Amino acid sequence: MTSREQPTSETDERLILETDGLTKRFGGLTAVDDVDFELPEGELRCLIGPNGAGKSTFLKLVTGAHSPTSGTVRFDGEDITGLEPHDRVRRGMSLKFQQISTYQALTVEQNLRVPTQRIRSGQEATDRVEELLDIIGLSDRRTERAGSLAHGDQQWLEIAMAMATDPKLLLLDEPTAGMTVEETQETGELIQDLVDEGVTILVVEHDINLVRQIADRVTVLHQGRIFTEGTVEEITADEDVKRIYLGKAAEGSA
Amino acid sequence: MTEDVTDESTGRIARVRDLLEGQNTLGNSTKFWYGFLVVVGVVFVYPLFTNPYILKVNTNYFIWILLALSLAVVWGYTGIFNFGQTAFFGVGGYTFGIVGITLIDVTGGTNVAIVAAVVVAAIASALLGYFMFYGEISGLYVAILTLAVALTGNLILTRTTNTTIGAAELGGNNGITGIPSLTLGAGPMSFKLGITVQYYLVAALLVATYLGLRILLNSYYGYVLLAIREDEDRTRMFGYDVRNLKLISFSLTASLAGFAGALYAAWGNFIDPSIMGLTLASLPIIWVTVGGRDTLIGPIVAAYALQSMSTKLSTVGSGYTNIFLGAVFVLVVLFFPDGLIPAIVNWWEDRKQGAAESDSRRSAEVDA
Amino acid sequence: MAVVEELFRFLVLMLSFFGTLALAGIGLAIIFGIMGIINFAHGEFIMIGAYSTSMAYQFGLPLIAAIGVGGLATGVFGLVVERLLIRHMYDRLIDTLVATWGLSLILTQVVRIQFGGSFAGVPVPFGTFQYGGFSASMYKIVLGFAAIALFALAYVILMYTDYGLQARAAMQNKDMARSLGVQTDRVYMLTFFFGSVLSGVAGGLFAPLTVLTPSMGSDYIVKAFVTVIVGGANVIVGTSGAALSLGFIQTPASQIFGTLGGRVALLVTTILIIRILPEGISGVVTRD
Repeated sequence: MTSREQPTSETDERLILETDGLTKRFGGLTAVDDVDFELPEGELRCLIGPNGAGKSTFLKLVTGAHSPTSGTVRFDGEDITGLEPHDRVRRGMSLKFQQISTYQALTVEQNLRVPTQRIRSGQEATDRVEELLDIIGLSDRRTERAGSLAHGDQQWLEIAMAMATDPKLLLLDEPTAGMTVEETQETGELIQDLVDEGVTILVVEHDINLVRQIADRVTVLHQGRIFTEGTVEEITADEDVKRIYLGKAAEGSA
Repeated sequence: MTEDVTDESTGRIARVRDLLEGQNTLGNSTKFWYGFLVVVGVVFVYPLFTNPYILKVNTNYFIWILLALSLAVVWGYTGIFNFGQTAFFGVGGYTFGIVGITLIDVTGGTNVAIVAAVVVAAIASALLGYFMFYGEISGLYVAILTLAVALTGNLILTRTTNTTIGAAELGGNNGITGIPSLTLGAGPMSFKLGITVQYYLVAALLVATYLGLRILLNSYYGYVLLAIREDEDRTRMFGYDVRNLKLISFSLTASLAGFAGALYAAWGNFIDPSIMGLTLASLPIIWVTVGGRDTLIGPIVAAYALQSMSTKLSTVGSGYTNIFLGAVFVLVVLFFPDGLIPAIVNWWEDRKQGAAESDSRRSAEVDA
Repeated sequence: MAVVEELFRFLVLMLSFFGTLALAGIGLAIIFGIMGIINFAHGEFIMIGAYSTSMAYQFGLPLIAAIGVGGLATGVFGLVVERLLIRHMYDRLIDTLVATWGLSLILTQVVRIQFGGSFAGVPVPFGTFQYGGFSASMYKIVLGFAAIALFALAYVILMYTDYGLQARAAMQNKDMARSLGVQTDRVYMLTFFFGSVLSGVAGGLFAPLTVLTPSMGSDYIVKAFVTVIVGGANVIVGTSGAALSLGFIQTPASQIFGTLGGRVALLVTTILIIRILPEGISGVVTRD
């Protein structure tokens, strides 16, 4: 049933995430306005836009933290609009929050154990935790409290935690916020490794350098609507995109 | 996972320890378990050398410890500020009293009463929990609402003069008297428990509860509860139904409190509304705060120590107990917010480490 | 005339329930709304207000002045508590709860040792209100209006003073307020003082209506809790709205089921409301 073809799609690609007329209004403010968004399986998509473009609200509508005023969200062929966040996650999506949200008082190992044990148990879970520790290079710091790790290490730990549930779709909300140039570069490589393993990834990002490094395609949100969509080259060359970014920046500094 | 066939018992011990131990509880060393066995040994042997009064008092302390453990799990491990845990303790005690007195001539009646106490506490807590956790109110509201429930329960019970449920006279401020003691077994095999047997039963239940909770906390659920305490949103986004899990934790621990309440009513053959009053509601909070919220062993030690001190103090002069408890409350929160037992453990480890470091420094100096 | 009589009975009863809930809750609500902490010794602050009012009254002051003394005495006491205890745990909400709970145990017991099981009361002023076959203590009506007056006072202080402006800023966003030069430490100290004064005044106003005992605080604390839960963080609108709606429920409940029924109805209503309004009435007011 989940492999049913999408009749709306022109290509034969299966859509992992699809929104249809998705709208969210807060009182008089329309934060997300009639968004039709499609994300094919296996793609690495970046979602960009100036502050207040509706990126976080859109993400919250996808994860179920907000319920939409109208419109639908489909995940892997199923309508999930009415589902609770945890049910959506159980269907195979995973989110890395924008702010650091590792379990500060728990050890690195405990942090990884929590998401891992939801889908694995016994020795299998232990092995997976080891594997993840290895990937992010924190094996010898497993008994340290997550809160005592450096910022970059915590970001990586978070990505590993998000991966521990074997998601089909990984949502990354500004994964390199607060990282050094070097760390950003490494994170970009990590994200690309994940795509190579077959995970579909949606990244919400400010850092245009990271977007250049990793993205297949880019979607630009502006004032709650999809402004344009295209390859990285198309988007960076687009004068209108530059204009909305600069316009917003000018307003912000005023 | 390779099992040494020649030493099967060692393998079995290792497997049991594997269940009991983990990062989520204090005390995972072989030394700890030797100490544990010594303490349990003392608990089970010293009745041979003491008088019934001491046994009676200690049985009461063990019942308080069960209440302390129930709060440690729901507050310390799950992060739910249940400040009205005594409401469920009281519900258990009153239910045991009512059912026990009503079925006083039925053999095995107190067994039914125990089950009834746990079931009623479970239902009451599940109802309250549903509104709190599915309403997703803030933690502070949970704290004051649960206490409001206990205090309102206290108010209701004080107004039950001339009220009878079943064969039990609730007795308003005077409470229920004549509650039957525990009777074990059924039919011709049943026997009423004397002070000593009651002591052994409660002590055994306490050891079993402690070990059972350790297994629970080091299992799947232990990790989930800790994760919920640390960050609910994050935990939800790993696919856990946080509302439901909080409800389960709240209700299970309230049932344990209700069970302890039933034991308490059977122990004293008596229960009154003060069980849901403000002072009693503060006791488990003090034990857990002083002992250390996120340990099991801390609240056990603190409950025992503080209750025996209170008993001694109350013989010196009535009224000073509350001042003492209040002062302990304030001072511990001000100076040892994580609790005394964790503070002592940390201090001990730091000292050991410090000693090791100064040793290595000394040898380094010698090398140089 | 029976209908009008019944209506009067209902309105007077509701006004007095509203007054009691609002007065019991307002001091707690100010401190909770602005500082985000719950003072568990709140009931004992009310008790201190009542005791000091009674003392001032026995000394010969007129009741209204005695209530003023009660408010001030409680305010000063609150200030001491804030400096010694609360300020050390601004960022540890649950610790504040636990520490103030300890304080409440100490206060109750110290007062019991010092003054015994009960304290000289204050006679009820103003006589009775009579309409047809219906009569009620005039003072209960006064209580309702006193609550409205205190809300008005709190509103004026929060809206039109320097302190009020800074308090509202700190309430909106603590860090932002701090970066704009608001001394949040001072604001919190004043807030705790202000809340304590209000609790003390409430205690003074309750003094004629109740038996003064060391544990009288626990009588009011449940009322204060439910009012704050139903009201939410918005001090003026939330708390007054909560007192009004809870009073509206408590009135028929206590008429039909008696005093106890009214108190139980308060709690049940609160538990039902949180399922729909987890942030209380404030959540409705501020929802956009």
